[in-house]
Amino acid sequence: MCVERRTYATRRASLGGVLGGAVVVLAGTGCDLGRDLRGPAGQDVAASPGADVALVDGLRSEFLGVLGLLERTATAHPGLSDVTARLVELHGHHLELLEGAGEDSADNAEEDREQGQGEVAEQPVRAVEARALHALRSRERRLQKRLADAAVAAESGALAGLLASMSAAVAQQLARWPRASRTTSDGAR
Amino acid sequence: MSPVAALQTALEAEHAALYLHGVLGARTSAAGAPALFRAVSAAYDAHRGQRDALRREIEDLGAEPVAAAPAYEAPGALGGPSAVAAAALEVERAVARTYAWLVTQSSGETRRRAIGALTQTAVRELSFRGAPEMLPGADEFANR
Repeated sequence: MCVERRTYATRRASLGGVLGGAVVVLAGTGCDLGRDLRGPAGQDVAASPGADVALVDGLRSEFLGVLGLLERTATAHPGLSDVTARLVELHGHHLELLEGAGEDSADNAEEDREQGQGEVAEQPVRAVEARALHALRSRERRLQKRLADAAVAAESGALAGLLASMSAAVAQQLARWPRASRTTSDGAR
Repeated sequence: MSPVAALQTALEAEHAALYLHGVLGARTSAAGAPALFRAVSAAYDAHRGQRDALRREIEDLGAEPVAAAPAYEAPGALGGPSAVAAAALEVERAVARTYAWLVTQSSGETRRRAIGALTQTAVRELSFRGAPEMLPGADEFANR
């Protein structure tokens, strides 16, 4: 399976669309939390996007690095296409959100969720693929931690929430990571 | 919103989650649906721990933690394991949304703890047949 290469255009000017225009509606059980975009200490989220640009730039590089590894892995190990395709879709979506290309994210999200319903079938993994998976998993763990750390550091509350959700999404993928079965190097049991 | 008020909101959500998982656990057979029973029990324990942590944090800020309500609106008919799992999943998703919101309303260590709670809740969704999401807890971007 060939991983489709995407072009992720940098649109710094649209970052404000994520930070200033984001309406994060969250409701706890039995609570109506409303829509409050004021950041910590009462700061208006829209007033501080510039302070987080460097943060997002760093994360963008991290995402591009992970996507590059996924593409190389998919090319070298077609048997891991289920894993790589899933992660490419996830990280591509996150990268687009960071770059403010959120117009079609809502349309795609429901379809992606429906496709993801149900149990994920685990496939046996050969030893050589297991090593590739191990490398991928390490990189995903690093990305998850980077996202969580960035969420703590973000000045914008809305950006922090977005990054925290991204980190949680990667954590879900790690929780579903395929296990290597005990196979011989040629795949026979 | 003040840090204490934001934490109190999260505590209210944990009170509700704890109550609801208690109800769900009572409707689940340990022998008939052992995996589900374990998942609901684990969720109950996790929410109890989160509740206690939030109470401590609120007390450390010099405030009185909000008390749990006498009862919460429980799910309707729970005809079997599938219905219990679906109800448990909705509880976890609601708690995830609460913590994602708390992240936006907090800073420093409170925010870090909220991020950890969001992550744990999102992973716990998977044990109730939830599918991995693009953005757990953030309805605006992912769950439409």
